[in-house]
Amino acid sequence: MKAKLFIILLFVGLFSCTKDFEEINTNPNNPVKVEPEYLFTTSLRQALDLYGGSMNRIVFFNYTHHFSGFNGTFQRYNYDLAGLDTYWRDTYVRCLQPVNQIIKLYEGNAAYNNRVIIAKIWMAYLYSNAVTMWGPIPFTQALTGDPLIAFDNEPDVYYALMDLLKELVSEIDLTADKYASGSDKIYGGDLLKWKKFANTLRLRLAMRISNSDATAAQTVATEVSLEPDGIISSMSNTAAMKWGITSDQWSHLYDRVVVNYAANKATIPVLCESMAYHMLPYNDSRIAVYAQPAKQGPHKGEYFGQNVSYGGGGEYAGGLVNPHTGLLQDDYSYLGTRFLLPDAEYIFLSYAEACFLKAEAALKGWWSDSNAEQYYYEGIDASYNYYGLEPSLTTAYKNTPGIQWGTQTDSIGRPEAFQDWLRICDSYIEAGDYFRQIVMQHWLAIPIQGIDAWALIRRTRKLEFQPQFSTYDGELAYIPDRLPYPGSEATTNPVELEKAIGWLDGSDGLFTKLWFSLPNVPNPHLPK
Amino acid sequence: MMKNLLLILLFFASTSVVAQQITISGTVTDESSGPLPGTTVQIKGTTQGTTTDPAGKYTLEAGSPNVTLVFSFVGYVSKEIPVQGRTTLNVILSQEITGLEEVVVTALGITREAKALSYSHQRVDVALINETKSTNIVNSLSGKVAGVQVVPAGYNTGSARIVIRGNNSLTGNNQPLFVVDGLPIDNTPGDGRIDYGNNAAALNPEDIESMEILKGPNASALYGSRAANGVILITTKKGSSQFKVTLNSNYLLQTITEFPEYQNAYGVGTSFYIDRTNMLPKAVVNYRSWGSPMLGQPYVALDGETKPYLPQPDNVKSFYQTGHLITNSISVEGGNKDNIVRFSYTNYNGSSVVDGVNDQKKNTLNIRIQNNFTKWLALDSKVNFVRDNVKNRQYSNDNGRNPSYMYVHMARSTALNELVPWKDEFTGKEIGTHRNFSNPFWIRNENPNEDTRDRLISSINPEIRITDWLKIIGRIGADIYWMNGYEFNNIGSTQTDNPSGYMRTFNTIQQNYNLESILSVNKKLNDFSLIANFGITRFDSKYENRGAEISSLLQPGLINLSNAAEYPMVSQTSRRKRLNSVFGSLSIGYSDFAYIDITGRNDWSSTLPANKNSYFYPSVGGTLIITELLNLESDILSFAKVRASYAMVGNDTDPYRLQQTFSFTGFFNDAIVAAPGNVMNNPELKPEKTTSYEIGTDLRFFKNRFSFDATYYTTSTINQIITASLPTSSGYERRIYNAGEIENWGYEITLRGNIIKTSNFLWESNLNFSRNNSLVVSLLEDIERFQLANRSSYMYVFAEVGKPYGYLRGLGVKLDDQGRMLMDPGGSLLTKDTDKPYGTSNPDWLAGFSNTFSYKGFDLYALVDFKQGGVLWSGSWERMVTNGVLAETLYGRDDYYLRTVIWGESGTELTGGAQYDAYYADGTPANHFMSTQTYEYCKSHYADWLIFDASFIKLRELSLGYNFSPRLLSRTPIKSARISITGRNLLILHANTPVGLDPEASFTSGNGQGIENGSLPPNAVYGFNIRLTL
Repeated sequence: MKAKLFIILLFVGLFSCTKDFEEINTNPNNPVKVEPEYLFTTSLRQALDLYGGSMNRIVFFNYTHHFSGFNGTFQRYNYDLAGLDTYWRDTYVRCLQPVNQIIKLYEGNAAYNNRVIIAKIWMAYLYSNAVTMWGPIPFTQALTGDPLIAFDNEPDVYYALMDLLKELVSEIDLTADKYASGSDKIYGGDLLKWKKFANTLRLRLAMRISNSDATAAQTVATEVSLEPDGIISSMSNTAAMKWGITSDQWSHLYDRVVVNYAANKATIPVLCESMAYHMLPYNDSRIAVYAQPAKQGPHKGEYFGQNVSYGGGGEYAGGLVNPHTGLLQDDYSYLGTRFLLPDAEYIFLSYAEACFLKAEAALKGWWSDSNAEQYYYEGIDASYNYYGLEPSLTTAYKNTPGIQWGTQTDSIGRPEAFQDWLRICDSYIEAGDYFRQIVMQHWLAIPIQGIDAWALIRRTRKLEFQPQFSTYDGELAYIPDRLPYPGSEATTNPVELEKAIGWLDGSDGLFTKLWFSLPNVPNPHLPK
Repeated sequence: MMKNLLLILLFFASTSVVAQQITISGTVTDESSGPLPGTTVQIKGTTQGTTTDPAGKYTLEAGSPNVTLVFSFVGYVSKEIPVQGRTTLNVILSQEITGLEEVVVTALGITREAKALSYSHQRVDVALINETKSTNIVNSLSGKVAGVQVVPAGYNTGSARIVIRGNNSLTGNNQPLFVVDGLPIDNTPGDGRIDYGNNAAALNPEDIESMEILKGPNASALYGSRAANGVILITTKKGSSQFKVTLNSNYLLQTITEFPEYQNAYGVGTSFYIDRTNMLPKAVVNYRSWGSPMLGQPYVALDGETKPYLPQPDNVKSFYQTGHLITNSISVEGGNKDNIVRFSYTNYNGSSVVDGVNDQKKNTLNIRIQNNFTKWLALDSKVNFVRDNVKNRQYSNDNGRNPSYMYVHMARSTALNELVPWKDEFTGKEIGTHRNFSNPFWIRNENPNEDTRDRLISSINPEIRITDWLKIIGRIGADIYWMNGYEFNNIGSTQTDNPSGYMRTFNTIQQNYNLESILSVNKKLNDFSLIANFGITRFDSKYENRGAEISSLLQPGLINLSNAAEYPMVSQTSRRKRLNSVFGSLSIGYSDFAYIDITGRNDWSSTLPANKNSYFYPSVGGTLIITELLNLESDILSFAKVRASYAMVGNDTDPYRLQQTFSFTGFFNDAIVAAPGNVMNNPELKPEKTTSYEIGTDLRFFKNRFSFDATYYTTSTINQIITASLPTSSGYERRIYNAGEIENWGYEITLRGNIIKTSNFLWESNLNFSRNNSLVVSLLEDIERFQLANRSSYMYVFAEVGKPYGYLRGLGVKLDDQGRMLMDPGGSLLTKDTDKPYGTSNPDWLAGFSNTFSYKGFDLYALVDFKQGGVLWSGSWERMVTNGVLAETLYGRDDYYLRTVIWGESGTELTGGAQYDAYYADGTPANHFMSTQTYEYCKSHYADWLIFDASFIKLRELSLGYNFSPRLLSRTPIKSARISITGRNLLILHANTPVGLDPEASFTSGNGQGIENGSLPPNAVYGFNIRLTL
C-alpha cells in the first residue's frame, strides 16, 4: 500500500520528462518568418524617421544652412554623444537590418527575386547616406551579429555601391514579382520607378565623388546616361514618403513644433539667414513655401532668417549692430506649413535633383549630350512645379539676372540684400559661373533633405555660408565635415574602429575632411 | 561493514512500537526560575503538542511512555527530553546565545542540527522584523546577516535588491531564491518608469516563524538552478493545538530627515537677470536659479502675480509631508492533538512622504491546517492570499512625472503656493510651470495610476511515514499572482511625451507550480546517524501579460480606454518554462563529531537546446567538531568546529533565447510593419556553471556565552549566459553568449556574545562583518567590457575584464602627468576624458552591529549598519548644480556679479569670479575667471564633481520595548503583552555623500548599481508597536 503510493508519486513527478520542452520553448509571441512587405515598410518608415526626424533638425538643418535648429550640442559646441549612438544604431539596426532580413529569408527564391533586388537597392541608398556622414563604415561585413565588425574604407564603399546598383538594375525583371502597392510607401511597387531610382542614385554617387575620382565618376555618369530605362524623369518618379496623421505616425517636426510648441518654444527651428540671402534678393517665390513670414518681432510680416552662429560678430561686421541680439525663435520665420504637417512628406531623391545632377554631368561633358542649360531650367521647373507654383512665377524667376543661365547677379543699389548681416558671405553669381548656378539651384531645390544638401555643400564648396559655430574660432566657423563615430562603437568594436580611424585624413572629429568632399573655402574676412 | 550496517538498518525497520497511553505534566521555567508561558511542548516526530499556560504549566497526553518531548520557545534553546515513563517533567530552558543545539531548517525543509552543517548559515530574528517594520521585507535584512548586501527600495512600494556574497552572473539575475515552506516563490523586481515593487515584498513578516539565509551554492545546491545566488529560506508559523489569539498593532510615521543644502541668494533667471525681455521681469521665462540677487524687487511670479523677488528657503521642504504606515494583525490558532489550525489576517495601510502618492492598502490572509489522519499520514496545507492595492505609484528617477525629481530643480525664488492652481480653469492646461519644469501638483493630481495585485501562495504537503525513519514528503505548491491596473496622463501637460494625454491598462497573470516528492531517511545507528533524501521535482512557470494603450484622449480626465482619440494599441506577451529535476542527498554523522554531506542534482530545462538541456551538479561537505573529537572542551573553549565544502550549481536561462524571431509593431499608414528582434539569440546555449569552495569554523567560549563564526569562500561562475552589447553595426544591439567568468571571494565573520548576563540584566551583542571581492576574469574574446547600465552618455556601469564587477566609467576631466585638471585651448572648456575610471559601486566591506540590553521587562535594541567603499554617481546633483540651487553654486557668484554687472568689467579684463584649478597642456595655469553659471554648467558635465564615496554608517534600527510581567497580567485574559517604540533609518551617522543625498540611493534594483537619479532624500520611519497574546 505505502509502496504503491510512493511509486505513484514518483511517476507523477517524472512523467513527460522532456518531450514537450521544444514546444514549451517555442516563442508564442513572435513569428519566426514574416512577409518581405512587412520588413520593407519597416525599413522605409525607420529611414523616414532617421533622415527626416530629430537628426535632421538637430544636425542637418544647421549644417545645410537651410534652417536653424538652435538646439542641441551639434549646433552649439560640437556634437552629442548619445545622439551619435542613436544615429548609428538606427542606421544599422532599424533601417538596414529589416531589409537585410528580406535578403536572408528570401534570396534565391525566384518568386521573390525583384523584392530581394529592391531590398538591396534600398540598402545601397541607406549605406550611401551613412558613408557621407562618417566616411569609412562597416559595409561588406556589417549586419552579421558578430562582435567584431570590420569597416570598409570610404572610396571602396562608393565603388562597391555604384557597381552593385548597376548590377541590380540589370537584374530587375519588369514582368515578375513586386512589393504590394500599400507596403511600398515610395513607389507603390512600381518596378520601373525603382529601376530609375537605382540609376539616379548611381548618378548621385558618381557626381558626389566627381572631385575625388573624376575618372570613375565620368565612367559611371556616362553609363547612366546610356541606361535604357533612364533616370528619374518626372514628378511622379520622385522618391518621397509621407508620415501619418496619428500620434504614433506623425512627423517629428509636427510633434516638435506644433504639438509640443510650449515645451520647445525656445528651440523651434526657423528659417536660416543663409537661405534668406540666397532667395529673397532673387525674388524666389519658393520662399513662401519654405517659410512663413515672421509673426512678431522687428521683422514682423517679413521673411526673416536666423543666423546660425552664436558668438561675436561686431569686429567682422565693420561696426554693424548685430540685428539678432536678444531675439526669440518666435521673432523669425517659421518653416513653411507644408513641412509642419503631421503627414508631411520627406524626399529621398527628387526629379529636380535628377535634373541638376544631369546638368552638372552635362556641363562636365560626362553626359550623353551637353544640354546643361536645358537640364538646369528643367530642374528649376521641376522644383517650382513640385511646390505647386504658377508657371508665370517660374518664368519670371528663370529670367532673373544671376538665375538666368550664364548671367550675372544684378545687385546694383542693394548689395547687402545678397549678403549675410556680417557682410562677409554673399549669393552673387558671376557671369558664366554655370557650376555655381547649378549648385545653388540644386541646394535651393532640396530643403528638408538635410543629409543630401550637406553632402552637396561639402562636395562642391561653391556657395558661401555665414559662420557656423563662432566667427572667431578657427575651424569652428565652418560647416563640419563629418560626424564622429559613436561612443557605442568605440566601446564594443574598438579594434576595427581604430583601423577605420586610421583611414581618416585626421582625427575622428567633426572637422576631418572626408574623401569625397572638398576642403572648405576659408572666408578671407575670418581669422584662420 | 556496509553489510552489517544494512542488517542493522533492516532490524530497526522491523521494530514496532507498542501503544500505551500516558499523561505527562510539568512546568517550564527560564534560568531565573520565571515561568515561560507560551512554550511549545510537542511530541517529537508528530504535530501533537500543547503550549504552556501563564504559569508555565502544561499537560499533555502521549501515546507511549517512550516518546520524546520537544520544548521550544522563541529566543530559548529548544530541549528534547525522552519521557522514559515519567509523568512529571519540569524543564528549564536557557536563552539561546550560541545556536549550539539549534535545529535549523536547511534546503528542502530538512531540519538539521546546526552543528552538523558543513556550510555557513545565519538566521534572522523575525520578532525584530515585526517590530521595526519596513515596507519591504528585503529592506529588513540590511545589516543583519554577514555577506548580505541590501539595496533598499527607493519608495515604500518600490523594489529592493538583495545580493549574497557578490554578483556571480554577469548580466543575469544575481538575487537569491525565496523559498517559503519548501515552495520557491517569485521575487521578480518591478522597476521601470514606475516601480511596481519586487514580488517578495508580498510576504507578511507576521506569518513568518523563521528566516534562514543559505549563502552561496554550498547551502543551496539542492535547490538547483534557481538557487545559484543563495536562498532565503522562510518557514511560516504553524500554530499549536492550544487556543491562542495574538494581536499586533504597529503605527509608524515617515519623514524626510535630510534635505540638500540650498542657496537662498539668487533666484530664477539667467546671467544675473530674472528676464531681460520684459520690463517687469517674469519668472516663467527661465527656470534655473541663475538670476539676480533676491532683494525683494518686483517681478511676475509663476502664478502671474507681481510679487517681491525673495528667497523661499522652505519651498522644497514644504512639499513633503509625514507619511503614515499602519499595520494591524490578528492571528488565531488552536486545535486538538491531530488537527491544528492557524488563521491570520493582516491589514496594512500606508501613505508616503509625498501627499497622494504611493498610497498602499494591503490585506493578507493566511490559513494553515495540519492534520494527522493516521499514524502514517499527515497533511500540512496552507493558503496565503494577499491583495495589494497601490494608488498613484511615484514615477521613478528622472521621469518628468516624478514630483521629487521636479523638486530637485525648483527655482529658489518660487513659493509653493504659486504652483496652485496647477490647471488653467478654461483651457485645462498645466500652469505654474517654468520651461522644462513640470508643476509637481499637476504631476501629482493629473497623472493617476492604480494597480491591484492578488497573490495566492498555496501548498499541500502530505507526509507518509512508512516507518519511524523513512517517510515520503509530497509538496504540491502554487504561487500565482494576478495583477491589473492602469496608468493615466491627463491632456494638457507640458511634458513632451503625450501632451494629448495617455492611458494604458494591463493584466498580468503569473502561475508557478512546483510538484515535488522526496523519499527521506533519517536513522541513527549506534555512533552513526544517517539522513538521506531522494527526490524529484517539476517546476512550471507560465506568464501572460495583456495590455492596451491609447496615446491621445478625447476628453480630459475621463479614465477609460474608450476615451481614445486614436485606435488603441494592444499587446500580449506569454512565457512558459519548465524545469524537471532529480536530486539526492546523503548526510552521515559519526559520534556527533564528524559529518559528511553529499548532494547531487540533475536538471532538465526547457529553456536550453534539446541536446544540451540536461545538466548535473554535485556538492560535498564535511564537518568536524574538534572539541568532541579531541575532548578539548573546557571552561574557556566550549565548542569548536571546522567545516569545508565544495559545490557546483548549474543555471539555465529565460525562455525563447534560442531562436531568432520578428515582432509585429503595429501599422504604418495602413501597412503592416514587422521588425527583427534586436537581440541576437543563441541556439547553442549551455547551462551556466557556478563552482564554490567554502571553509569555516564555529567557536564557542565561556560556556557558550561568546561565539565566533568565520567563513572563507570562493566562487567562480563560468559559461555565463550573457546578454552583451554588440556594435550596432552588427545589425543587433545585443547578443546572448555563453562566455565569461566572474570570481567572487571573501570572508564573513559573526561574533555574538552575552557581554553581561545577570538575573536582571542582559547585554547581548552581535557583530556581522563581511568582505567580498569580485573580479571579472574574462568576457568574450577581444571584448573588454559589457555595459550593465548607463545614465545618458555621462556615466556607464561596466563588467570589465580585470576589474571588480560593476565598474563605473564616465565623462570626466582629463588630468595631466601631475594629476592636475587639463583645460582645452581657449580656456572655456575642461578637457574631456570620456572614459575616465571611477571604481566600483560594490562596497569594500559591510558590517552590522547590534546590541540588546534587557533589564527586567525592558529591552533596548539598536542596529548600526556599516558600509565602507563603493561609489555613487548622482544625477540629482547634476541637475541641482546645473540649476544653481545648491549652496555650492554660490562659489564666486557675488564676486562675478560685482565685477561685471556693477563695475562693468568685460570678459577679457575680468579680475574675479569662478576659476578652475586647471592647467593647459603646456603646463601654464588656466587662471582666468568666469561666471559661476559657466563654471557650474561645465562642472555638471563631469563626473568628478558628481561621484561620491557611498560609505555610510546608519542607525538602521532602534527599539525600546517593555514586556508586561506575567504576574501583572495574570488576572486579565491577556497572556502576554509587549509595547515598544521603534524606528528605522533614524540617523545617518556618517556619510561622504553631501547632505540630502542618501548614499544607498539607486536608480535600479538591477545589476547596474552605482547611479542615483531623482531619488527621495534620506527618510526615516518611527512609531510604536503593541503586541498582545490572549
